[in-house]
Amino acid sequence: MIKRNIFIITSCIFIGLIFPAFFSCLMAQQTDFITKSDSSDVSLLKQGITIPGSLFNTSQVNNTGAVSTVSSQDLYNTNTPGITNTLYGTLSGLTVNQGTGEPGSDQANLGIRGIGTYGNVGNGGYNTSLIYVDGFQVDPNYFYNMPQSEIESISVLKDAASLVTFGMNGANGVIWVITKKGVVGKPQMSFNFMSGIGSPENINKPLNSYGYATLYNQAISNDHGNVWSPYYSPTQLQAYQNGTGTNVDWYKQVLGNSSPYSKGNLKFTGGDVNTQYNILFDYFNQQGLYNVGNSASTSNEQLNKYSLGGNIAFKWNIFEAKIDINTRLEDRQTPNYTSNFSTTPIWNNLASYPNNIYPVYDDVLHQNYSGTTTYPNNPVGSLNGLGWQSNETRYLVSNFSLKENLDAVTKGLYLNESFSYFSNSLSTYNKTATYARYINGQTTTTDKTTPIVASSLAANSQEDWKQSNLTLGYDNQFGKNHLTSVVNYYASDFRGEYSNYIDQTSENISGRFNYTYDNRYVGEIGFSYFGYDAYAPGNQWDLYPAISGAWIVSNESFLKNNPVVSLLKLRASYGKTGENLTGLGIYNNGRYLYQQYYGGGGSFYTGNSTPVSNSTLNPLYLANTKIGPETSVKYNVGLDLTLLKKIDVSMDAFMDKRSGIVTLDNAIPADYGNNILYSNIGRMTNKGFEVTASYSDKVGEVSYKVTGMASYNQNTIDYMAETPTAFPYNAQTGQAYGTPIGLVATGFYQTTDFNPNGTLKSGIAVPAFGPVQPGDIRYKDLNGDGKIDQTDVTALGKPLFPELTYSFGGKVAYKGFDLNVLFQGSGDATVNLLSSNQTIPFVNNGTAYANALGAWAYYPEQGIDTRATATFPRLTTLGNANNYQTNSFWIKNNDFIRLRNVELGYSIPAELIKKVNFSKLRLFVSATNPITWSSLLKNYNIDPESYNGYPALKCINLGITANF
Amino acid sequence: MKKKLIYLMIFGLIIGTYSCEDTFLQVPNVSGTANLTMVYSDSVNAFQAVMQCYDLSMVQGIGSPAVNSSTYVGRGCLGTLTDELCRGYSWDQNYANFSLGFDANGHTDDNYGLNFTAIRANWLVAENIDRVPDMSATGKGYIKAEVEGLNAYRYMGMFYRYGGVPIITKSFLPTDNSTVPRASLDSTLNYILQLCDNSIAGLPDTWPANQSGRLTKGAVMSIKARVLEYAARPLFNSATPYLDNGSHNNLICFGNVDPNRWQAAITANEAVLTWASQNGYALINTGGAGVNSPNPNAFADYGTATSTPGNQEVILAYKMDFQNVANIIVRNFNYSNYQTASRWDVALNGTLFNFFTNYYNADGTDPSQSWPHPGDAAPRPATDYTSRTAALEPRFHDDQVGPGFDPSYSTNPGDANWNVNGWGLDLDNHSASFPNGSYGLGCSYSVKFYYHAGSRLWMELPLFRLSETYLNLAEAYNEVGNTSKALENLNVVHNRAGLPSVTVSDQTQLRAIIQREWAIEFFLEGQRLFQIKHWKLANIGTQLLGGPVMEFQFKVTGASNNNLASHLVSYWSAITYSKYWNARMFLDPILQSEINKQIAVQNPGY
Repeated sequence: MIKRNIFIITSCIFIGLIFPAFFSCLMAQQTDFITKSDSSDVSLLKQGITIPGSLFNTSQVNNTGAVSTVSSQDLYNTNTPGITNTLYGTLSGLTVNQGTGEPGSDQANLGIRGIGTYGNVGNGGYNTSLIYVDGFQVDPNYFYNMPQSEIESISVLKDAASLVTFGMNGANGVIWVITKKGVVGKPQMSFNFMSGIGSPENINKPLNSYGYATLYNQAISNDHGNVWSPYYSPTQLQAYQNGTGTNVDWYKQVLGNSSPYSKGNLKFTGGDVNTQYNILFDYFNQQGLYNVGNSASTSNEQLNKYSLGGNIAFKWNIFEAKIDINTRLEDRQTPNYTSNFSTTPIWNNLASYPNNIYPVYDDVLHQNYSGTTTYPNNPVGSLNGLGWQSNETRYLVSNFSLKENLDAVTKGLYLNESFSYFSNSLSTYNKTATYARYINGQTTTTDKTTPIVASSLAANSQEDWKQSNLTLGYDNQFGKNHLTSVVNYYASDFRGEYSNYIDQTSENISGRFNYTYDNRYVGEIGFSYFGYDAYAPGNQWDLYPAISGAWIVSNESFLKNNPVVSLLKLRASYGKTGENLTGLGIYNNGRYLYQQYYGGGGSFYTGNSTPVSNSTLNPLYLANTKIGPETSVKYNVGLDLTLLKKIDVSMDAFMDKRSGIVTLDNAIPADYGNNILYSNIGRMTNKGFEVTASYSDKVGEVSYKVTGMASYNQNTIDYMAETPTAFPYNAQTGQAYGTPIGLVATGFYQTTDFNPNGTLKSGIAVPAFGPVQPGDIRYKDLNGDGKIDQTDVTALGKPLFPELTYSFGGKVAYKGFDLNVLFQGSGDATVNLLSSNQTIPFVNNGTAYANALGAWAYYPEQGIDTRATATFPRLTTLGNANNYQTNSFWIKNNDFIRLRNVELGYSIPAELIKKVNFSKLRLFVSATNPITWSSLLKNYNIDPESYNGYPALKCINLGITANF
Repeated sequence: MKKKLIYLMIFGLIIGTYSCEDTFLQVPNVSGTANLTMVYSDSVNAFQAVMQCYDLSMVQGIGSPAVNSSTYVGRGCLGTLTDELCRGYSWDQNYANFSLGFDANGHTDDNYGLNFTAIRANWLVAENIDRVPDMSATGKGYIKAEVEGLNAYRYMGMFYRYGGVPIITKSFLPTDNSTVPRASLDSTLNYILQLCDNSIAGLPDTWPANQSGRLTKGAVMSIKARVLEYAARPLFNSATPYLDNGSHNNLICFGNVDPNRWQAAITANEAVLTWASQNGYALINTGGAGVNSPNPNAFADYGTATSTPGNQEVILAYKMDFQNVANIIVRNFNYSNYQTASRWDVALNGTLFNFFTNYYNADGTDPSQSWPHPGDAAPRPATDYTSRTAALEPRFHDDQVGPGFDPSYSTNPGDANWNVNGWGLDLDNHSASFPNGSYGLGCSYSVKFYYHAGSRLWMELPLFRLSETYLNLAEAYNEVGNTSKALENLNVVHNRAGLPSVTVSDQTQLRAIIQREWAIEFFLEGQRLFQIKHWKLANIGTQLLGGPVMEFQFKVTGASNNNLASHLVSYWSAITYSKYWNARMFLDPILQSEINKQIAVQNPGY
């Protein structure tokens, strides 16, 4: 601990004290650093733009694929703790869904072009894409915590043309990250520092003690057959009302004011034509939301991240050598009340513990935490009395490449060998204690207050990943003909911690041939011949071809010098990619479905007076020797248009036909004897479009740019070998993946629906979930059989994954000032309120929320009658199988718009800073996620992206950027 | 020079790449789980696969998990579906079957799919056992015969549940055309007989003591004998089916009445008897009284025959988990105070009055009409109950215990955990007055399979007990008109039970007596549900599988132990609820999900 603090202090001194020393001693550098406010030449950039891609990059001219890219200057537009939360509304075709704000676990969910398969659905359809950094695949967690300063650009590869070379890894799209490299020029140094304060975007607090007790009386009376039998007496209620009764706002007790974070980096770059270098140091610190100090025995949640990276490019004779090394330490610390390193258990307690259960402390001295057997985990006690946990993730990523220019053989020929070593390890260290729980001076559980005890440092997991490429390339121009081509052999050897994924190997022979004629016609073919170890020998390799083309209409003579149309380009691509079984969590050996595996069964006994227990070996799922990867055939057409050199429009429409989705075949007959057969039989269709548009101009000294972006996707499950349903409308087949299938609610049962003995009147369909009472949710009997059961379910709305995501915003620059605004939203999605832990009152001793105030109740003698106005089913303290079925009552629209970012910056005029040797000095203030418009938030006080657990954050930031 | 260097480099890289490609994609070293090759690469693993075949195959009708439910076929096995036992608690799997009848959505006595799971496991062993390097040819031969015998066992169970079923002769690969339709009843029977004959030829007569429980020649001969007995019974051996199934009548009926089917059953059962006598199996009759004389040791002999593991009368038994007291099968047979896993779950499984009247008096007289019947004018004094039950035959006292029973007559004398004083559970429906709504505790409680068991919780459920062979023969001889042979075989069982010989010669009367002997002798042994159906008894819907459920209800003094004779005041017989019966239930339904796949044909009425 002391060592760590010293390191933090040293880092701070380094950034804060030593750095200013450079002010006076460094020469001012003239650079062409592009700032975000430079919007004057957006259209003209097109010709020089590089479109990153696998095997080789393309230009705005010869690119034929659907690729969206965001470069470093735009990434800096949004200041958030993690890189993924900067991506909202910046990459067309990428749906970004905000996660929690928990330090170090705050990555957003990323989904490229919606959901193409139900095979590997990742996290609700998100996070199924593979991530490549500098051409090599990485563990997604490595990317999620990359410092922004390391990244030059992030691209999303979406269509067959850009994905084909990935073979069996390409079907769900690829996130392609390029890191910053040294640039030719005089040495430059830049410095960035920013600090922000995060606070919960929204917290849905439960009812206070009075509200809780009032509704509890109703609930318990309902459970006693609608006979008024209050649990809380009028005296108790009065005490709650006038503030003398116990009423603990647990959130207030547990949460501090904010989650501050800060990050800074120092970067050196420069070089000549033969040697370039780039050196980076980045530091990040974030404190959690908890109201607990950092001491020997307690800890707020926190993340300290140190990144050190450097790359050197070196040229000699025919050789070009590059080495690129990045290391990162991620130190996390949490209160010792976690599940899988996340503090979710605290939030589950906060969401379910009523305000009136007990005061925080049982004694006036505040030494003893209250606690009962029903509510044993006093949230304040858990935060302060259990000690803390820490874990450290270490990454070492080193890439080496050597290129031989073989112009001597023929001009434009080259050979390249590259090798990547990715390594990560996670170790833990904890200091733990327990605390006794008291009520009225008596302990209530077996826990005793213990002194803090340190654990030894333990290794938890590690990964080794070796990847290599051998590339033969040819790039040459003959008159109007330009050929860029590459053939590549790739091998990957992954060794990870998961017992069944200990080792994974794959090989890929791929290539791309891009031919451009006269900057007007482009044709490209690409292929991958991919081999993976999960399939039966003879079935391991598959070929993936793609063909694509483009026509730059604006380079035709009839449009060449057209004053209106500056650029008009049409693109089309068609091809096949694949998706491996990796990640399919079926049994222990999901990867090797071609093998007949056996698992331990029960015991069989033989013998007489002393029976012998015989172990058994049970054949598991049915081996499928034909099992192979899922296939995706992708179609894409696109258009790029620039008008008047001011308006940029890019449009893409796509269709993705999946087949061979690995599916549990529910259609095989029982006489197989083993109905667990996974086969490549599923089919899905996913289609949609993306539009981005921007308009930039300059009026006097005011330059501005307005941008907009929309992505739409819609999928259909064509076939999934579903267990035959009783009626077609019960089926998931034919619906979009994730479509809620449930009962159709038609309101509440009324008193008049029941016979005096409590049974439903004849003619009213009887639910199969147990007896119902007035105030319970009534459902439509879709098949008219007089019973409400699983044969009455049907599609109830859109899936949670939004079909539409969009963003719009703008930038204005005037003199040194710049203002940046970005709105982002999503639509065509629904959410099931039951997936939030703030919906169901009282069940499992939970608390109640404001939504329950509208509950159906009828106690005329108590003056309670909400029969006509109820917005919530009758309350109950028991699990109510009828009301809490998936049904349309709980399915709510989840559309929302957020103001993602607003930022005001001021660049101090160059003349002023020149004297102190700066080339650029910019100060900024920004706010992320300050405002949200959402019906879910408005009506239920639930954030549209984060339903449970640690909330998402909104931040106010302050920062400085300096270049020398 | 530069060019040469370059060419050399390219050549080297290509060779280097090519040479390592072959082995790169090999399956990585996955720890832990065995695949098929590993299982059959040594005899220890292979034997575990064989044991799995037993585990899967022999559990049918005892504890096979029911569809749509994690619970098991039954508290007290299939007895709760018949007139033997009360239906149990509302959450018991059989409760719904009892109240609503069978349906094609999983409410039956069997999980259709698990039959084929067992059959597949059996074929996998048969197909692969030859690959085991360190196993003798003899051992492999036995195992192949065993798995065929286990297939025969499972097909036998399907035969009398469903009629004709798909004939699966190998373990299917996913590439196989698996659309196997249901075979006709006739083909199914022939296939089972073929499996039996193959198996009998390859099996040993006996196993070492620690291996007992595996199939022997005699066990499979018994399978064959039982199958042929069912084939001869009137449900199948009929010109017309129980319900018309259109063009698929051959799945549920042979389409003719053929007395030769009884003859075939006789031959097969006589063969079992011959084998039994050659291999040391015999009905336990220690009284030495010989033919046509009541056995004075009936209480001990019947108790031993049904309870003592490995006794000379049991040809094959299902040996239940003896260590795991939480084993759900065991705990529903054992009502003693030793069973602590779920004491209260076993309640509400009392023996029904519907069945109770089957028991003879010890002197051979028939008491059935002298019990109180529903609708009687007044309750009778409880002493009437205690004296009447005391007069019942030894098998009653081996199998049943009720309130007020003299503890010294207990099957576990002197053991407080086995007598009503220390029982800890109520044995009677009781209240302070009549009529009352209590039900579920029947007329008595079963203690079968635990004669002199003491603290032993585990048990062996006999699958084939030699009594069956005698009763099979009695039934078959009576059907072919050979009354003397019928009586001879019947009386072997009847006399052993301590009862005087039956001498009735009228075929119809004798048939009823034989069926009554079946009921008493095989109480809770799992065959009654199917026998009632296959005999097509007239009162099936009004007394046996459907209709009013009758139980005794007691008036008690209200003292703490309602089981003690001193606390019983009076009793009567009451109808407590009704059971559902429909003629379609003569055979089980094929699962609706299978019908939806449009390969299997449903049995009529579902």
